[in-house]
Amino acid sequence: MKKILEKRETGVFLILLLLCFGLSLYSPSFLSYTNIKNVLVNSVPVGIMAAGMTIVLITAGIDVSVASQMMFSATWLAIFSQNSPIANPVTVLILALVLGAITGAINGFLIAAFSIPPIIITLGTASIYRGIILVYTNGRWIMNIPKWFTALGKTYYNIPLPIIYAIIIFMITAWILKHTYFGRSVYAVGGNENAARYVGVNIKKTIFLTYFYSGLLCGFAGFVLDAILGNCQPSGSNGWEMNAIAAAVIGGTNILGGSGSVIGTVIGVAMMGVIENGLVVAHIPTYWQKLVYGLIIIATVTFDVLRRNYADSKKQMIEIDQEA
Amino acid sequence: MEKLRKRFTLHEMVLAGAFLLIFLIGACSNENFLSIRNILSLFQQMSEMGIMAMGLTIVIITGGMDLSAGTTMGLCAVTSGLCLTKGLGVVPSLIISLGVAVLCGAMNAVLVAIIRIPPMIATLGTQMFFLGAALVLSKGNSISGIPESFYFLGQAKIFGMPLQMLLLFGLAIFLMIMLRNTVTGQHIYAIGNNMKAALFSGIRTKHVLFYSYIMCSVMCCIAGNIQVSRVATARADMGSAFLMTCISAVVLGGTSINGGNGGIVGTVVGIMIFAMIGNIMNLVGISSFWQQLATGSILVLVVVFNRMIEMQKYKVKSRKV
Repeated sequence: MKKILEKRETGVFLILLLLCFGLSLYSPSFLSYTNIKNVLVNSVPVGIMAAGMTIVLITAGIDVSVASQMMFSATWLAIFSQNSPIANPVTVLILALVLGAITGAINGFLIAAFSIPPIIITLGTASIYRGIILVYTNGRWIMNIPKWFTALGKTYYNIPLPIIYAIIIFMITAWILKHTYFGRSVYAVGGNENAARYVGVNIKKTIFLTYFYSGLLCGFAGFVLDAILGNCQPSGSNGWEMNAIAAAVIGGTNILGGSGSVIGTVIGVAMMGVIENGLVVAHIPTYWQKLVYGLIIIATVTFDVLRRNYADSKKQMIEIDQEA
Repeated sequence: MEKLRKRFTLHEMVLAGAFLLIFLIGACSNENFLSIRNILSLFQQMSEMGIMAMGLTIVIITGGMDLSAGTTMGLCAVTSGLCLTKGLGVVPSLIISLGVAVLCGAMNAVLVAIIRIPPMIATLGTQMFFLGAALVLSKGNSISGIPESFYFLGQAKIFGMPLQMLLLFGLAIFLMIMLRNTVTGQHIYAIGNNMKAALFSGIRTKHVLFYSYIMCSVMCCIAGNIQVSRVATARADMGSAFLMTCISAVVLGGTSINGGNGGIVGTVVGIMIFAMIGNIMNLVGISSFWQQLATGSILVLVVVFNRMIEMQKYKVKSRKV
């Protein structure tokens, strides 16, 4: 019991509950089934990207190209589903994963092979992926995605399918992090890279696989986005990479690498969704949204780094004592 | 050839080569490219980006990064736009806008130097915060109705040369001297090379970091005001599209992304290359979407190329983060 209380996730979860409680007092419609369903379904694409982002952040990297990767996949899927005779749910899903794998592998290769700061590479590839789809579609929306495709994003027997997808992705990611060699080496690389190398972890392979997996999830997020929206705006979802990063950081993933969990990220995603919905419910103009998100990110990161610096200073004092 | 190799590094020669190549492509593809009018308008277009990129150069030399540069520019633009339309004079508006820039820079510096958040993450957060602040100030709309007395900054000409071009070169010379010949400039390089060594040799690293980040924000503010004056409107997302190109230009100009070396001249040449590419594309009639693709590709190629040279030079095998 004490262990659960000490965990960072518990604190964030309590804040989330408090927020929901306050909002439900403010507006009774907040707790209605439709509203909660909409909040959850709308945060599924960001949530899937945030799962990949969690792994990337744990290795002390960052991937600011996730939104572009998602739209890259979503745009090609929309075009493919409209024009190809072999388009059906299975081929679309396979194409989504292949597209995500390609973009992720390019990121992973450039970062791992040349040891370049990941933010620079992903800033560059973000505008490459976005540029390719904008050049091809000339910036036009792709309307009327076929009915069988949007059926994959609908609700059946009061259970929305996108939420099922998200749960599956979260479970797979949590399993990878906890029970596979790759998952454990992700923590090792992020915690102390030199130590990980001496233990025999293949650093480059781990880094490559991290971005590859993040890309794979972005491809899948594009698939879900198309299914939910029923149209595709190649220049849309700008800045969603920030939401994914914010969700992971709020959920307790260390921005300096080495720690973090999927369950925390899930809570972070829910929190972002609730805040966005809360601003709408409370009739605050949408342009306040960015300000609030920015403040939340700065505050959580500041708090996190201060706490860790404090913990580190304690650690060093103990070491010095032992040496003396 | 030997002499050349001694005087210039490989990267400088490649940069000069690329510059000449693009210049030749421009001259061959369109006869208007070499006209004086086009060249002057080229300088007019590049000066905003150039001023912002020079500010970024300083921060990148310290081993940091300012991802909030673009939105700082937007925030300053919106601030001076609001002041001007509310009836304040030109000078007070500029001073208030500069004050906002100093605050932005100080906020970045507090997060980076005192709380010690990695610069990329800290400025990623402030990027969103400044954009949000600018959106709230402008209520999400663009501000028009800038009084004509403000137009001088982006539209005036002195001896036939646009004012902002002179401003660009003036600031470039000032920053060059600052980086090369003053103690602060040398401290900036020292911090970028090795923060701990700099600290132990008595450099007040926090002061220098504050100076660099505030300098960068002030540069963004100048760029923002020039753009407000040139297009006679102020929008919150004005500088957001500049960030990528500016970082690319700084890196293209030979400033190491890990800090410690580089300079203003390289950045100006880098910005000129990007401005020429954009200009040629406009003259030939290629859509702006291609420019986004080209900017990203050039950034990735240059970074990878630089890294490959470095790896060969130092025979680096292990990964350096």
